[in-house]
Amino acid sequence: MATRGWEQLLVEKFQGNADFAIKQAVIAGRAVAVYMFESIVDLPATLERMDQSLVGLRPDIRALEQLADLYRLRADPTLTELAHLLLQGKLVIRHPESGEPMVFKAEPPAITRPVSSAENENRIQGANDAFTEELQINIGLLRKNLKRQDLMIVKYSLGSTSCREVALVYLRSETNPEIVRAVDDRLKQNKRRDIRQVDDLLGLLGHPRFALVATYVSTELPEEAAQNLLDGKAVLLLDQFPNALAVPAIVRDVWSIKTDHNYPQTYLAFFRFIRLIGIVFAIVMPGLYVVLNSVNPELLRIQLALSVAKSREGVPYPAFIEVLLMLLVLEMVIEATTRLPKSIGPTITMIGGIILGQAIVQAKLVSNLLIIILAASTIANFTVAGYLNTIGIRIFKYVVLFVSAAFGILGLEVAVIWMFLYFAGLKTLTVPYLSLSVKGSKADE
Amino acid sequence: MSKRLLGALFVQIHLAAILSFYATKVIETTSSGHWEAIAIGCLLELLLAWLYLKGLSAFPGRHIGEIIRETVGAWAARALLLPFVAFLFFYVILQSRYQLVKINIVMLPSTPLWAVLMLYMALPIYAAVKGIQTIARLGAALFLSFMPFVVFSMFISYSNFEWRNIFPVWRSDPAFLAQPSFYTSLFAFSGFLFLGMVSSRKPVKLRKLWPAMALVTVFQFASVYVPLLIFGQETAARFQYPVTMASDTVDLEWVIFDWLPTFSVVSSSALGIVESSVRIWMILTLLRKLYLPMGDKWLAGLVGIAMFFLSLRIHGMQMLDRFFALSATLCLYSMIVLPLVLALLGRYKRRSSG
Repeated sequence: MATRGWEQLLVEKFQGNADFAIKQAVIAGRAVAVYMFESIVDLPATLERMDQSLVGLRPDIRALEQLADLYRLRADPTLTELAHLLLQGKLVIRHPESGEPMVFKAEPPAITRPVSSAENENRIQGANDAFTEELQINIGLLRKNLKRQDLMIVKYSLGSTSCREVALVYLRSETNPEIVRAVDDRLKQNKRRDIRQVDDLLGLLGHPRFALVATYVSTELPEEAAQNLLDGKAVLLLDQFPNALAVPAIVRDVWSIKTDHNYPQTYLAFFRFIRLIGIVFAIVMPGLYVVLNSVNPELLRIQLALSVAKSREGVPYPAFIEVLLMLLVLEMVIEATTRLPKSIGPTITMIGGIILGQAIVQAKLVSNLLIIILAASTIANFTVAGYLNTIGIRIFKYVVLFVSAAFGILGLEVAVIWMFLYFAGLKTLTVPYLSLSVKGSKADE
Repeated sequence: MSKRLLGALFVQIHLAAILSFYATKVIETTSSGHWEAIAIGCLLELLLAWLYLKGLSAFPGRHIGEIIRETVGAWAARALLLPFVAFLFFYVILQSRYQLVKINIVMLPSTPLWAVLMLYMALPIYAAVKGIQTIARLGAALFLSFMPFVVFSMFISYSNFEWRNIFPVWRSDPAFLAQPSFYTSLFAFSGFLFLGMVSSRKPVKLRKLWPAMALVTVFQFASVYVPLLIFGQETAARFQYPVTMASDTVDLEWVIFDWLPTFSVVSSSALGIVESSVRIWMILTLLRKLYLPMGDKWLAGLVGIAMFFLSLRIHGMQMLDRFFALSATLCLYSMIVLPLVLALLGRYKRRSSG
């Protein structure tokens, strides 16, 4: 890069940006030109810190170079890299003699939130601190959790128009080297791809675009992420994203939460059993209702069949439509309450409760039994480990519902087999979804 | 593929056949001493499987199509394996058709056959395209989730056992060997042939398979003796689906379901899907290697359509039985000639390499 040219180019690039600033500052007794974004750099604090590290030294060019040793990041950056570094909140200083750019770390202004307790994942027994938006803090949290020598952290800056930092964290002795290699290769190959959302990152990693189940485990708890690391997964941390993504997910993650191990073994087995039953209920119940009502009522004992038929007395449409209608309303309630402000949330719950509970039955629009079935299957749905998995199961129950409405109990069976087949065919980052452990290469359910 | 996956698949392939037509054929074969017919079948399979695996172990990482092709040439391989492919092809058609009739009777009396058939065939073909690893994992998942149903539906009727129906135990004249239905029952022992297709790098040992074989034998005996003990020979011989009928003889208060044969049909059709997937996968692999070098999806589509229409052409149980008897020759050929050929090739290879 031309020694004089970079300043002009930089100014041209960012001209019109109100927060791009060129300031004169005195560092180590020298007046230098400083380039930065005022909005993400706290200059006075940075200068003060630099002065502190220079206490006792003679302020001259050597001191500046020593400072550079302490704070300098890149030796000879190109213009794009320089721009990216500036956007990351770094300080660029013109060397007073050679005129070359020197990149310094800078103090950020107070626009990050401190480490606080988890908001979306609740643990009764377990550490409660959660990841924040700041990548560096997140890595620190993981380090604090896993005091091991073989904890590896590799950082990547991705993107051409935007710049996003991604950190790959793994344990050298635990993680399957093939996973690490696969992730590393893909991140390096796609260096210029812009990563805006998790979606982009997963696409870059070669995850299937339309997967029914989550092919990664997302968690906001460092403890959970650390356990995932110990189990042989690799963890991806995305700057400005307060969740860790552990890849690849396997079928076990649907019913096991890593912090279960903070309980005695018996309780752990009990929890997991309940979750497994929950999965079965959530998937099968709505479909089974339709099967027993309209396709294969002879399956039930006669007393039971009669009481089922009685509860549907006066309902004007087929069981399939009835279930579908109610399921859609339920989905809307779930969807509405997820993102509402906490002060309005209870209103929806109340209104939903009135409509779904009493009024709709009295109006003979759906049967009593259906309400019970749907409530049970919705509750069962949320016993599943990991929020992402609950969504997968929510979608999957519609497949079961449609096929069983057409083919009865056989349809139910075929839909379940299809689900297994789908899982069996799913493979992310060389690990088949239907394996019980990420570590070995052998795969069995 | 790990040993456990292979074992689970081995059990399922056998069970699918056992739960569909095996019992009918054995009960048809002889009026007493059924265990002799079963035991002969088991010993025959043991012997043939031993020969087969012995031959295979000389060619690690290859499947039989490749082995025969490389040692005796492409055309000889095509000629030798054509009856095998035909056997697999017709077997899948007959087997799914047989399951379908059962499904039609027990669960979906008013749904048109073609619709059920389409649903029932789509899954194995989809699975076959995905490959044997996927099928093996599917098999393991189904093994865990459907085995309880199999065991449940087979043994719920124990309270109705009439132990005197077991007599006469001994039958000295082996007249049943002359019965064509005995040879049809041997279909159920052809499951070991898939071991030649998995092309595992470490040779599969017969020793490692013995738990699977023992389990299969238990079920073979159970599937014949459960209906026999309940109904007696005279009545059991009249049933098309004796195992399913046996589960219909009990009324369990504590099960909320009234129609217990459903469990039997559900579990056996699930096993049937696994079995068909494996066999269709074998067909696809051999066809691609030896006869039609095409893309997997196209080939699967062609095979699937052919199977679907041929299967619809079968009208009634008599016709199905006749076809079963006809393809018994193909089955015997594949079960006896292929292991012998492989054993010879293996011997030859070992000799020539020192």
